[in-house]
Amino acid sequence: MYALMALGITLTVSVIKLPNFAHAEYITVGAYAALIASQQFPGNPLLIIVIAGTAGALAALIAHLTVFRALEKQRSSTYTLLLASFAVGLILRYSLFILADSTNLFDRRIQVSLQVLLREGSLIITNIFAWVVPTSLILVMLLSLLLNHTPIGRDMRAMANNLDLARIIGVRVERVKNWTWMLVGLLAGSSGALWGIYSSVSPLMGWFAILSVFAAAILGGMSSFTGTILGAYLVAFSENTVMQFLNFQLGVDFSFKPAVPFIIIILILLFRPQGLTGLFDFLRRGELRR
Amino acid sequence: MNIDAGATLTALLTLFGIYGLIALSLNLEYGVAGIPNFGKALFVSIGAYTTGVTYTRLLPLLAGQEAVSPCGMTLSTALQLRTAIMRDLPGIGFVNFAVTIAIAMGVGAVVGCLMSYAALRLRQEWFLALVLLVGSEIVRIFVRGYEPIICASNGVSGIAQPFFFIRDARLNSIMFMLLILIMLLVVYVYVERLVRSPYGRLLRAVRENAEVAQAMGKNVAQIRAGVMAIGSAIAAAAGVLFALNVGFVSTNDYDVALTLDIWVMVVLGGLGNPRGALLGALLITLLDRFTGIAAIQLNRTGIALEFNYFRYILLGVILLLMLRFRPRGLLPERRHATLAYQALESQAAESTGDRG
Amino acid sequence: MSALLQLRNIRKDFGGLRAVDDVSFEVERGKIVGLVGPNGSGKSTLIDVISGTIEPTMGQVIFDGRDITGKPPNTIFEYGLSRGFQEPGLFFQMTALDNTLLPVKNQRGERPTAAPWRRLWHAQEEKNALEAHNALARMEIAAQYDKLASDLSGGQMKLLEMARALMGSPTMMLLDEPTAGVAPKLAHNIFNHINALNKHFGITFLIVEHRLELLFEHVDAVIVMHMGSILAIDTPDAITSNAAVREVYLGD
Repeated sequence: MYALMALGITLTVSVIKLPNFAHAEYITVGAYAALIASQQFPGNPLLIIVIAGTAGALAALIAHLTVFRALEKQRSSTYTLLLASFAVGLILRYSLFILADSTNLFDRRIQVSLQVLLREGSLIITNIFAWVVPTSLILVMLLSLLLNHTPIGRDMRAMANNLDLARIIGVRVERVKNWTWMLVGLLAGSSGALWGIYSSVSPLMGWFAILSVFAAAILGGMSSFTGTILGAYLVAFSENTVMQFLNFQLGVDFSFKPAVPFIIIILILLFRPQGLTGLFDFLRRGELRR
Repeated sequence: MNIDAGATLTALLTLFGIYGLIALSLNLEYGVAGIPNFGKALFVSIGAYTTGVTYTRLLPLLAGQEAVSPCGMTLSTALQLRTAIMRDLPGIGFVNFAVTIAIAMGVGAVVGCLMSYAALRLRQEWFLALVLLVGSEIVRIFVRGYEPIICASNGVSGIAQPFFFIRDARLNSIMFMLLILIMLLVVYVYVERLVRSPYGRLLRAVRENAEVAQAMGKNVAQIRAGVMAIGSAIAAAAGVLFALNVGFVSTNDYDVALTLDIWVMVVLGGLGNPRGALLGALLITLLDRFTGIAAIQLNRTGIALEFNYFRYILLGVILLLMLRFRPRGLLPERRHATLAYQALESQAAESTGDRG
Repeated sequence: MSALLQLRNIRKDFGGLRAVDDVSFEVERGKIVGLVGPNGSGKSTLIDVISGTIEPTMGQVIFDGRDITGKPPNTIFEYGLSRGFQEPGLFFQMTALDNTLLPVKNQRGERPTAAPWRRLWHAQEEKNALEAHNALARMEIAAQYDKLASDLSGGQMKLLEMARALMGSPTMMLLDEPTAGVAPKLAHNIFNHINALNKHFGITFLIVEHRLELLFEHVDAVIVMHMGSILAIDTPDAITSNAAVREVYLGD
């Protein structure tokens, strides 16, 4: 699930060139849309995920059209855009607070009827698990198909590589940006829904996760797909397994757990800003690139 | 309607003073020197944690008594001990206050310096913002989990203001307010002078184009470290006052929300203009108090709506509107800030006088 | 021993690409030397190496008897070697006067400890302000002293850059396309200023320039680069008739 969210960040950073902190709220918007949808149409997870994805995409598109596009036009600095993304996040987050408050939807789990599909020793596979994992995988595969084999995906990759060049060779930058934002929102929204099915929904859920998600994206080098997915798994792994190991071996308290992804961010940015990407080249070529 | 106008005003000015100090420091760092300090909460928290440590360790020692562990079993003994000292021995209270400020500023300056050197290794400009943001969260999580500093997540209470010995609650809060406003004035004059001096010109040049500034013989890394040290020391001093004002040191007060508040103040008031920082701090503090009072009034009328949410939404809207329509703030940077112009103008006046 | 700047076997690799290969030359004190070559011949890389922006893979740069290889740009500037940028590297949100005052060395008011106390630096600042005004006047842009650099015209920006470089009292200036994007008439003007600075202050120049006819009118010697190496070093007249150079520029 980190993978889905981190892919969104990677897409935004590479195509739009904006470190978007409001990404957290697109996730939450998706989760809430899913929650409300699940009350209307219980027992239809696919529909719920589609609704969540649409809500996320809409949120991202509206934020782009009303805020980011205008700021990009007046050639604002990265910091301005970063601040604006914080502001968008604030507005969305606390609007959701008001919504949650007035409809009593705090810390609720998306209602999907629970069935145990397989029980073998301590391993229990429920229908929730059966939904969440394949959906994530399918989304990732669809995304990679889209990027590698469609015209819009080609344009996105061109913009990620070199924005000016993309403009010169006739990529309709504004249109591609709209599409990218919708795609990013779709990813965020549906991952929010999956997360809500898996644990619970609250207005702060996205905000709490966003830095871990950034950690995953940064670890992945923020340029490649495989890198990002691998980064996401590594972050999730270190949050759980490494923390358990530290606790067991060195007596590090579990209250330090949220610090793990942050430490990853700092270490990577300071010592290996290209993330894991360089590592693949290393494996391929047998030499380290400078 | 039984809001005590005097007390409200005192509380408002006290908060304004504290936020004003932090806003001045961020204005110097980002507005003038262009360093995006998204870790403001970290430097404020350094001051607060220092206060937690000195009040529980140093204060009893200064009073010639044994320090008692402030956490766990001996919590209430320790609390009584420091409250008694602050009440009965004002001199020691003041010494402790001064030492706390000095230590906080020192630690703040050192951490600020270190952070700026870390920034040298970063490849993209927004990485620094992220590193500072994340660094501030790491420290917060660490302090929350590590008992010896401020009793982990329990925090330390009973952090009395230096005027605690004055029995009249109203008078001592007014004294505290005055102390803060005097500090604000001193720092404002200091920052204003920096901005108008050749040093201010140097910082602006680094902001505009660091590479060219370096080619003009300026040691950019050192300059950034210097301004981060100054800004962080100011923020840490404000953190001490923050803790004293709340009377309690807890990690929950120093998260990203605080950093964002300060950013809104600086962007609203005006980048690169110390007066703008003060104006922004004043407006946001007013907004803060106003929404607070409005929330209480609303709850009285029976509407169960959390007004705090609107406060944050409003902050977001203000920030967006400013970035979009007035990116330089209400009071933009002044152009003729330096002495050089006066020199030229007076000379021009003289030469025309000679001719005429 | 009158060489002010000496390059010894400079090589610079970017990954697998060799941008500058075994370049050695000398620039004599008080001369104006042009550095020309087709795009991608390594001129800009060489300027970056000399000014300390990038470190060479191999070789030595000697300036005024000191080895400056790998020294940071600010130190190299302190030694008296100043550089201009291809894109006007001005501080755009600062006035022309502030731009000009910046490079002045040993400003007391630039120290954060001294800055709040005006009496420690105001005499120096007044003197510098008048000098800066004179430098602007020399470049014929004194009337614009309180305009923001971003409000100046392209040509005025170039002149402001020269005025600013002058305030660092350099012994040598590196200029990277001083007339790029400037109208022909003004380009002449800029080269006249370069000549005047050379005569008045004895400043040595190394100039990268694409307008060859103009450049050749004003320089004492020309270095031609091709594919990262030096093709020829000679007087302008000799370069014009050099067969190898003609081939690079005019031939296939």
